[in-house]
Amino acid sequence: MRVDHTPTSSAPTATMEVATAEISTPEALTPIRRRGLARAALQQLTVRQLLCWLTDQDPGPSHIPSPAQREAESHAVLAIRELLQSGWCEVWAWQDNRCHPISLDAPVIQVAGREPEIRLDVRSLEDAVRPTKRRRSDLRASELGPLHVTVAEESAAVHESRPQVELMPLAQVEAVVRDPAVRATGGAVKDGAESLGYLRKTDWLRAQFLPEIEVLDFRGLFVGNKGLWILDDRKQHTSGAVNPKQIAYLLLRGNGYRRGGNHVKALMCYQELTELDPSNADFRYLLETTYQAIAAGGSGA
Amino acid sequence: MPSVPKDGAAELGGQYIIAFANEKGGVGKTTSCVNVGAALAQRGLRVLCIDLDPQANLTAALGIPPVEAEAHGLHRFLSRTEMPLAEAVATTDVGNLELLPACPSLAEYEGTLAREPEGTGRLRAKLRRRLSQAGTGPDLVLLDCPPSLGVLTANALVAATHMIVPVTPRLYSLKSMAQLGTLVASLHWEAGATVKLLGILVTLFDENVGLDTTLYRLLKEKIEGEFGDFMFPKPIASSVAISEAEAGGRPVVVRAPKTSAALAYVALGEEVLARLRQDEAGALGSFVGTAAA
Repeated sequence: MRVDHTPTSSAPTATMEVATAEISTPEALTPIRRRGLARAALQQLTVRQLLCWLTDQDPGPSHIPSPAQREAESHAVLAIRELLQSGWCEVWAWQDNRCHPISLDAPVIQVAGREPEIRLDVRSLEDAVRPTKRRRSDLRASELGPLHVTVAEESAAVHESRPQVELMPLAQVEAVVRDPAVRATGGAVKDGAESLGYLRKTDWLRAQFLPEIEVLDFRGLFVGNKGLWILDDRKQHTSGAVNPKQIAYLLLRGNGYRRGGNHVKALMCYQELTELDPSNADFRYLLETTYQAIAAGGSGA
Repeated sequence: MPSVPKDGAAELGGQYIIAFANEKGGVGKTTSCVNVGAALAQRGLRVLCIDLDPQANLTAALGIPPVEAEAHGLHRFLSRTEMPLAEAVATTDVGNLELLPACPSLAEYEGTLAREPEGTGRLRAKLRRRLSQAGTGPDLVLLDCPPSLGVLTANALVAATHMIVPVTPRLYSLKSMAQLGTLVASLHWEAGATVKLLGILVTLFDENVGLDTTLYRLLKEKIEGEFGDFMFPKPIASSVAISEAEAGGRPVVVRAPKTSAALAYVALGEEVLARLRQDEAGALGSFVGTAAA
């Protein structure tokens, strides 16, 4: 991470302006915005400033942000503090190939020579995930590696009128920040994943392979156990079978629309899926959740 | 054959012939056959393995040299009218476990067998006659099928009383299993096969791979939802110990009995015995009805 000692108030970046414009109170922070603010804070703050914020100390005369930027930073630091308290991430300061863990209990580190870099440690996520039996394959790619999606990229679609400032990818910052609500087991994990707007990889795989498995006819294997009926109605069964390619196509389109926020079009896809296979509980579930999303006001076209 | 004291609890009510079949190659038919056979042999049952695959992998896995396989050989047993079973069988290093080996000549004989009018029932006729003559024959006969749905697999399915279908958690493997079902249904109609499914065995399973766990769950849900408890409870995980044992010409339950793979196969052997006993009580269902009549 590049560390800048110059007062940030003199050259406020678009990142912080966007964050300021979108966030009014800490309670309004969504998980995605919280991650964005955490990254923004890591971009903007030096180690000294971050430590001052975390320990409620005055950052000193060298740090004189504008009121708007100060508000954004305070939200960002609140987000980091919350994440640290929840145990979902660890902050490490790297200096001269040595790392210093930063915790709320003992946030002071010796800063001498070259200014340290700050990293949120990936390993902390894996440790936190292990008890829930979630695996790396279940996580989104963005959660595993360095986060290259900057706040500027997120905000560009929302604030097209603002001039885009090119931000360097955070190559040095390995940030893995999870919403504390997701830290649970079983259904709670799934609920958390759904609230974040994505499906786990296993759910995605299930949706891909379910139509393929459903159409497989294993009845011939059970002729000796159950009786002979396979040859008589095989033709009928095959002709009435749902085309797996069509199922996969509709499912992918529907999921794409849903991820893009176009719940109306997603609903049309899921309705067609339900009509094709009325007995499929997964399709009915997708249809129902999309209805709920539209009812909640998320029907953006 | 080296003798191991027989465990009274392992005794079965009759002689059973179990085929390990799947059209797909590389799903663990041979490995499962040899290790279940060795596990049950170690338990005290007299087991005869028959290698129906011209690639002769089962023969190699039990350490039988090709020269000996050629001298004995399934093709000789099937082609000669009066060849005694004991003459065709080769002894192995595993106590209570014998092998009717295969050799590349079996591939040539397969073509001949396919042209014969009663070719699909040849093994059944031979085995029934020889096993009834033997009197003190094996308790279990395990058939290792080739990775095809040709006449040798058909022979195995017609001769078998039960079958185990090894599958890997891959879509092609599951599709091959469905194809096998079509063959079984056809054989039931055309050749009077009465083979019952003893169970579906998931092999080469890696619980850390999302695809494996997903397909395993989907298959389990489908089988248990539509047909009942026909999945073997524990999938066999992929293991280096199995490959090492294959290279050494000995089953992993003999070569490395404390490895997880060996323990899994020992548990599978117990499950096979339990299911056979359940079948004696009619739990696996029975249909020897009018199809072939």
